[in-house]
Amino acid sequence: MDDETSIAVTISIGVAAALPPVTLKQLLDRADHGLYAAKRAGRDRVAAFAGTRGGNGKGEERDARPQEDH
Amino acid sequence: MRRLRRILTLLAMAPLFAGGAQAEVSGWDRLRATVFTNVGREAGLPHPIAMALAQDSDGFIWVGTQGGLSRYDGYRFRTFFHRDDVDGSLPGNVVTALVPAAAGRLWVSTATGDVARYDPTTGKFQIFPEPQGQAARGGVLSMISDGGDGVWVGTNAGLEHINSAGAVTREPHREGDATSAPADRIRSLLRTRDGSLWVSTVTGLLRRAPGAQGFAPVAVLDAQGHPVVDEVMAMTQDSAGRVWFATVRSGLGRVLPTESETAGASGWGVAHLVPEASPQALGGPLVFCLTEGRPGEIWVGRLAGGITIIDAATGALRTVRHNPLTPSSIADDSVRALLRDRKGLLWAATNLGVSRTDLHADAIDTLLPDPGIGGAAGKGLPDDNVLGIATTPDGRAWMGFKDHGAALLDSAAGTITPLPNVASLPPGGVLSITGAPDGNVWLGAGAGRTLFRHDPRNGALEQRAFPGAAVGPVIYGLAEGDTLWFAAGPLVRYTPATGETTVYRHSAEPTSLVDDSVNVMLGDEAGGLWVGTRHGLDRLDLATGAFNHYTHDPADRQSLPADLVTTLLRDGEGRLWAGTLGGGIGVLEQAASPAHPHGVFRRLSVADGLPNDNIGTLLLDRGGRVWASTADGLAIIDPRTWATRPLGRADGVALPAYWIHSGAVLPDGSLIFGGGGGATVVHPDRFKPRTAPPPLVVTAVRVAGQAVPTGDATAPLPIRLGHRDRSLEVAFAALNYAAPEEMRYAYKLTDFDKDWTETDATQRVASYTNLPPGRYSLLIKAGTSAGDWSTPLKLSIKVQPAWWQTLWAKLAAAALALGGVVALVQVRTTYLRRRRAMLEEQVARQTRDLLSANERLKDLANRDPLTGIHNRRHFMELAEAALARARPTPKPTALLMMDIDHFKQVNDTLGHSAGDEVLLAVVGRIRALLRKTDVFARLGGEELALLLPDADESMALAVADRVRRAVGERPMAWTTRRPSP
Repeated sequence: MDDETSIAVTISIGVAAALPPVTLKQLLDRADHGLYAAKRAGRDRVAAFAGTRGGNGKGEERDARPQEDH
Repeated sequence: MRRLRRILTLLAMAPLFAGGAQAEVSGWDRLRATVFTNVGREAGLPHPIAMALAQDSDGFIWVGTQGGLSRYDGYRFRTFFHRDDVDGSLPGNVVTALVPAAAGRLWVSTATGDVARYDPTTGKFQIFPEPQGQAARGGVLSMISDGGDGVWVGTNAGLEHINSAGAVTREPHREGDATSAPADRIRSLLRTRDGSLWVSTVTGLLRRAPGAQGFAPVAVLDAQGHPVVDEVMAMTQDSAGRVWFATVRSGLGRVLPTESETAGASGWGVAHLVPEASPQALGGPLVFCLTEGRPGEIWVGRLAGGITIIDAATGALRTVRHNPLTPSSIADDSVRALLRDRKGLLWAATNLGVSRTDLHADAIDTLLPDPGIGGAAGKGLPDDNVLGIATTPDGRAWMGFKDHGAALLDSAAGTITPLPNVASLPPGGVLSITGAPDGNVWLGAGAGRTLFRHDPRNGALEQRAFPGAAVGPVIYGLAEGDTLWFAAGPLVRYTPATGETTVYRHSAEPTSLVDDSVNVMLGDEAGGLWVGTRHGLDRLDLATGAFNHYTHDPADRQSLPADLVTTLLRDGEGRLWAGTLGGGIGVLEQAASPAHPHGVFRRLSVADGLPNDNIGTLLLDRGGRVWASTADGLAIIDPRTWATRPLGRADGVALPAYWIHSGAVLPDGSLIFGGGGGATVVHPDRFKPRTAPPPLVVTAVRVAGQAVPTGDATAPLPIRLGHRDRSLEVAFAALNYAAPEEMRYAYKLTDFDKDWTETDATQRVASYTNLPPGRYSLLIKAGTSAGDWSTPLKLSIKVQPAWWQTLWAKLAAAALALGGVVALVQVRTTYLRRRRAMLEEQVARQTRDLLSANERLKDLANRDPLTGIHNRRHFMELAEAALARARPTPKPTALLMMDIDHFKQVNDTLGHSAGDEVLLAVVGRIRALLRKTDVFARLGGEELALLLPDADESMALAVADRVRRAVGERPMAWTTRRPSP
């Protein structure tokens, strides 16, 4: 007897990108920071820690989720 | 006089034509970026400052540094140092010049005045001191081949010659005799193809004609015909026979051969300074080196000035410099030596290691951003993300950028011009760009949320009302007649002339749009419109307004290979091609019918030769071939045979990943693909697939842990093992400097291995332990990513038997047996010998089994037991290693931290096994999106991490969003077996 189970799940993602010199710890911290921001902003979304391009490196979060719900 | 001039012109042209490559300056020559690969200390270079370069007869690249001499095989540097206590070591660690000699040997000079020759059959350097009773050299500044196997040496104390046998002679200097050799510093040496020897000193140039005894000064004249006295630092001869030289204060000059050159006698004109290459034009005086790049291009390596490239025909200059934002720029701006290798790669020795660029791969060009200029005409892309490309009926191409609006690409003129009034576009990037048949260009600006119309004829740029109510950003547009179709979540049909708008949405109606997530559209000749969405492919019948669905069905191998359709194409046969994310390409061969409700698609995937199953854009060239951009380079597919070839670094594809539906066919037949970091341009007519892989050489041999000489590639030395030598390691490499990381290898020891052992580019060692006595052949071959294998290199190996294993011992035993005295002894000996061979064979097999078991154990220890992806500990190791690799270039690295939302509730309400199933399903979906180089790990619980080497923030965001969609787009489903009653 087989049971078919199905459940909808979503994922939150924190993104960090950086040019050297950056340590793994810094990168992990920044991505963690982004993940926290994504969770706080309501989950099922992507939040970045600005760092590589034009970023101020101070942890500005950007919501990269396309706004398709309105 | 006129006749003479005509002859001169012809002669100047002749070598160019003979070379087969005419220096034709096209727009692409101006647009294309020079893409470098940089190597240095991370690959084992002992000192960052590289001084000299040479390629030996085996193909190895040698780099002389200020701290040792290194040999490069495309992967690692093998370094030779000076050691006071080691006989035959490098005579000094500051290397000034390198000249290849026959049979893999190499002449080396040092700053302390030593000249030595390396011999690969002994692994030692033989030193050649200056002749007895003469002034000490002081230092060696330059060397050049004498045309045979000897070398000319330019020292601080004059000129020397060393012949192949090693005899050293100092060219005599006589005070007051201008035809004798100079006795002071000799800066540079050149031997031209007519046999002339050119010598430069602090005061100018001298030349000795072939066969002549004395030198003659070569007068250097400026543009007004006045003589110039200056130090000459570097010289080279180009393929047209001209001699180019660099002075310290007066810029570059050149000497043209006169017509008698081809008649045998050497005739040379006067040395003239080249006004186009004055110190002012070059932007700084000091030049270290000169060499010809592509035919007709003189590359000038400078102190802190990068490389200036002079077009010999026009005098036009362009400069290649280090750009901290572009990892593929030259590593450093001080270029001390330049070398063009035999495969057409150009190498530069810099203050930060060695940079190389492939001048041979001219079918594929790269356009890179030029942030320094801010998008001024003709200086590269204004932005490194080309999100959309459109061509207009006038044959021009428009590109939409992530941060800098849009620009016009004129490939004939070689310019990229930003859209006028580009500053008035809202921020957020031009997501779509569409060329309409009436000549207008439509832009989905402000992240696709604001529609603009640009008229290139009058430069007008005006905002237009957004068509349709409550639709999402316009990510793609298609113009058909006077109608525009927009992918804006739903499908939008818009007629600019009347403002009439129709929005096609998904509804409960079965013939409605399959999903409100349109990516791409393509019209067909039968009055239909194909629509690719994130949840399948639809065909809209324009007459009835009904959509016919083609979706992926896991149970139907002939259905659409994946639901997320990114690009559509019609091939020369009229077949529809759909590129997908995760499923490769589907080619529709039969429309849907009752027998085949999903239609019949031919699938092309990684298994067929695609580099990756995430397809960005499909384009058709004029020859009917299909080109695909993917998440891991390009591919070319021949629709007649379905032959599919991946194209990577070796083919000149310098960008790693490409945007979806960002590409166009340009008026000259070139194809352009927008990617992360720039754009790739393919010239299909020039494209020739690579065939034979490059030569394979043995790079190191270790017997019982001790390095032994390898010999040169054409005659590798046989390897001998004594019976006590338990281990043998043979390291090898194919000298493919264009893309060494893409090579594959295989080896086989005859009479020992049953099959070929295949390895990748990171494991280039064949190792054996406890080989039984005997003669063996080790066969090694190299293969390309496209699947072409070289003919195997054969290395003979002899394992010496111990005394009881020798023929002599066997004969003695036989004699004893013949004597009939102790027949048993022979039986016993034979038995023992066989037994021993069996045991040895068994031990060898067990050792190999143990090694592979160890590998498997190591692998288990590195992986998460539930999902099979890397565990936390191993992820940290791999991530550290990836960051270390990114450091020298430097390349950006991205990290994604992911956490499944509300996972605890799943565990609590459905149980832990359901939690495991969800985790497995999530990991499975994410894995399907990754590149080979990405590092994916479960850090613990529901926390996942993904490291993306060589990815910047925008690429990482794109990946993250793909991951988020892949997880959330449909529920996770699994089956549980319930215990039978």
